[in-house]
Amino acid sequence: MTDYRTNNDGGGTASAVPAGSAGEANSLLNIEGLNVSFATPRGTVDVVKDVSLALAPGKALALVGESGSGKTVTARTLVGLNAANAKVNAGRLEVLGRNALKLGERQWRGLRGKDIGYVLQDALVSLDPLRTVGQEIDEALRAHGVRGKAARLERVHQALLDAGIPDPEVRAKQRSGELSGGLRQRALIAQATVLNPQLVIADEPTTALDATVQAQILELLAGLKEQGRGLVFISHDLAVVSHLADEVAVMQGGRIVESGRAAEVLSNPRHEYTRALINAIPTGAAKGRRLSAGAPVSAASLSGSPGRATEFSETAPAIVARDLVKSYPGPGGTRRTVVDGVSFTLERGRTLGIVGESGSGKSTTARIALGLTQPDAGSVTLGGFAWSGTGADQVSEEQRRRHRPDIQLVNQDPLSSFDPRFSVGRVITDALEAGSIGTSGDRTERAVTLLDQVGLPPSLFNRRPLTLSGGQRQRVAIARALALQPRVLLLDEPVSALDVSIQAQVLDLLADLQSQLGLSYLFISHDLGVIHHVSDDVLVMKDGKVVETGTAADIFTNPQTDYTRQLLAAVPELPAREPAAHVAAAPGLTVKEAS
Amino acid sequence: MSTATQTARTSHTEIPRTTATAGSTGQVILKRAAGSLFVLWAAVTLTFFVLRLVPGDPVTTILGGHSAAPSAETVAAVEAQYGLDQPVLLQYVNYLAGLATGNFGTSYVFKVPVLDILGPQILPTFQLAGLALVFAWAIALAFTLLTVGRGRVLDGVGRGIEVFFAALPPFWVGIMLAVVFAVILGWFPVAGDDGFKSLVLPALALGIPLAGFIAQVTRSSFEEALAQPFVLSARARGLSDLAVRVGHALRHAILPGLTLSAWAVGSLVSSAVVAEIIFARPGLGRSLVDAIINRDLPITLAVVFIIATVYILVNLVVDVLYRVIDPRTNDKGAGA
Repeated sequence: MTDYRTNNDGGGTASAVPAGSAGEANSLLNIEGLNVSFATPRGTVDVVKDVSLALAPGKALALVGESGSGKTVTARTLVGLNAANAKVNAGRLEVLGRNALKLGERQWRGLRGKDIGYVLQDALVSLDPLRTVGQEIDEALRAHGVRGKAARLERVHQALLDAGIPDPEVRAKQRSGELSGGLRQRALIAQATVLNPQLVIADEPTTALDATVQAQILELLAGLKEQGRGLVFISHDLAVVSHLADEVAVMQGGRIVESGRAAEVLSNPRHEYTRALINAIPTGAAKGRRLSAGAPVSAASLSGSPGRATEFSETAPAIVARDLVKSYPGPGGTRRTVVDGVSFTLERGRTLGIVGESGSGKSTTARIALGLTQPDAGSVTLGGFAWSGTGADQVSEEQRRRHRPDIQLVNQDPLSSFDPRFSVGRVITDALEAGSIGTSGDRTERAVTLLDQVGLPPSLFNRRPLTLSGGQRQRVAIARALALQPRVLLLDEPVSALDVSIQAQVLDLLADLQSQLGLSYLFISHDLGVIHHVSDDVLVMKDGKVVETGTAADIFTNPQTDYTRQLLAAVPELPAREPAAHVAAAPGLTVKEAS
Repeated sequence: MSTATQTARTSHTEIPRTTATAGSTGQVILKRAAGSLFVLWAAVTLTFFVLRLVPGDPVTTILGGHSAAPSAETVAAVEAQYGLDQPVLLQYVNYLAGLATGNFGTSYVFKVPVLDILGPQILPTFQLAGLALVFAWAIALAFTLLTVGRGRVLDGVGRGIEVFFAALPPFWVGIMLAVVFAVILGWFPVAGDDGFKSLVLPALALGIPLAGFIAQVTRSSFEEALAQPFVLSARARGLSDLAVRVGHALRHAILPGLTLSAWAVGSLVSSAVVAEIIFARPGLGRSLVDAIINRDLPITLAVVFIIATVYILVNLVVDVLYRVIDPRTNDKGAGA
């Protein structure tokens, strides 16, 4: 380490990050050899190791890596908000020119909100759900001694306006739960930036947002940068990083394994881990290519499961949906049409991707396809037999029940679909039992085989789902879906909660299973990259209607409607997949026209 | 460590877990009023018939017990006077009709209208139950704010004391309080009904065990709230630890305790008897026990009626408070 305590930063400071501004007087961050460890009952855990960062005003630094790589802990160290059992030491830890190692809680409080804004990921939980967003923003003003109720209210409205919220008087009185995802995220940014902090730290600011909303939020963050503020943000989405960041630091296991100018790191990655992260991004260009380094599931492990008797046709399409309509009662006696004349055909052994923003009717369509929601009009056939309909064609649940094994569901959040008291093995044997598959004696064996199919070792059999990683849980959910030997899998945002590298493994697994078992997939996602990668055919939905449908190649290369074009334009892409100069020259967003 | 915050992300985003009735305020009041009438009717009806099943003859009670050995004429006269010669169903209908006009009947033992006896007892019991609830919340909140998330030692101490409090029987607490603060220290009167001073010890006797219960549920929801991302957001705005606890976490934490309080108030009124007897205070609890022992049915019925009414009113108040504290309750059912 360099000398522990010195104010002499006029001397040439060697920074691991070639920010070029490390030694300048107005440097926002100047960090060398940062270590953070946590004292736990089982001993000390080192989470951040020897991290060096620098940031100048008007620049954006991205921390990239998968969960557990130490990004969040690093970011929280910059606002002094790590857990009580955290131990921080560093050769140099200068935040806004102050030695952060010597800052007391009271001094930190003076900086937080005023000089450093901190934006968390999901505004629904990052803003107090019981209070209005106006109260939340006002709280920052009061905490820093801004006097005068009327003056504060004006600043609250101005902050909301600055964050791109058009009618601040109305919105200030609403709670985060009453706002749309985009407005909510803007309000979250407003509460962190109302006092014009020089440094803004954002932890996964666009994850879980629809593509167009994500583009708008990126634009807003880019605007902060243009105002001369420094921006540190965490993301696992390298495409997002390429649009916003000037510098990138790739973290793995608590260390920075690669850092440098964003365009350079992303288009010419030197470290193996950075390359793996870039390869893991699902795009059309990566279609059919494996995203992860893992070996494919062996065909051998799939043999030996005797076929279940089924009437599923070998000639008819897997699903044919015709003119589905579903409406729900809205406020004041009105009816909200959630699904409005949706038709689609899922061919056997193929993947139909359904893409659309929240509220587009994707999930309701999925529930109708699953036979869980009765449509108001229209019909569904599954493997050639009547599955759902209205009037004379109505299918009773009793008639459906014997066909239920043919279509199975995999959710976004598998954990909440597992009984927390069940072991992994029990989750799967339970499904086997429900489908009367096998005898009570050989179900354990079958469950182990199913675990093997999804690439999980038998040693997980007795573990609780809670103790598994997100990727392992999703594999268990897939194994459970496969237990009934289905012909169709309905995959509802199956990888949306996963890191890009884990997502890559799960997408590869799904591709293997499809080719070896001849499964048909109905794949729902808000992520166009994922949809492009997995789909043969694509259905674009908006406000309950099908906007456009066609083969994936047609939709993505030759979109026919404005809405699809707008969706596609909103997807940030990696410069590495295009001539590098294209984005590097324009750090502002190419998506501005979209919104 | 970095994943700890990510796992606990969902719970506060969903529709609040609440026993509060759904719908707009007007609808809620209508639904509640109808429900309340039904509950009152059911409580009175059940008590009326159950008490009729208990062996023994009301006339004997009215005439002063078995030793009285009244003549057949006297019995007939009393039966006629109290309407006991009519069929039970008719007695029941007459009783309901009386209730509707505010007539609770005449006490078998004291031979005066029930309300004349119970009237003076109501206020002391309500004062006692009310102060006990205030003490319980004050103690529970102090424990929550001072010990939750303040390191392992304080947390453990707080948790331990809460369990200890919750396990204490009120009569034992009452006797100990009386011995220490009234007999030895002489700070408060040992017994009687003499203003606020005489109310403190009995209220504590009831409030301390209740504080243990409330603090336990408040503690766990407070812990949960402190782990939420919005608390981190608040700290990142520059709020002090105390401001975050009072301004954000506490509001989330008191919701389950509030639900518990609705039950607690009703039970305080009926369990007040312990404190009333130990501290020789007047009150409904004592009247109820005396009435049951003496088989004084009209008084028993009236006390049941009053306690049922208290339950209903308190639940109504809690329902309203719930909406004030958690405005999301009103939104329930709005989404698809």
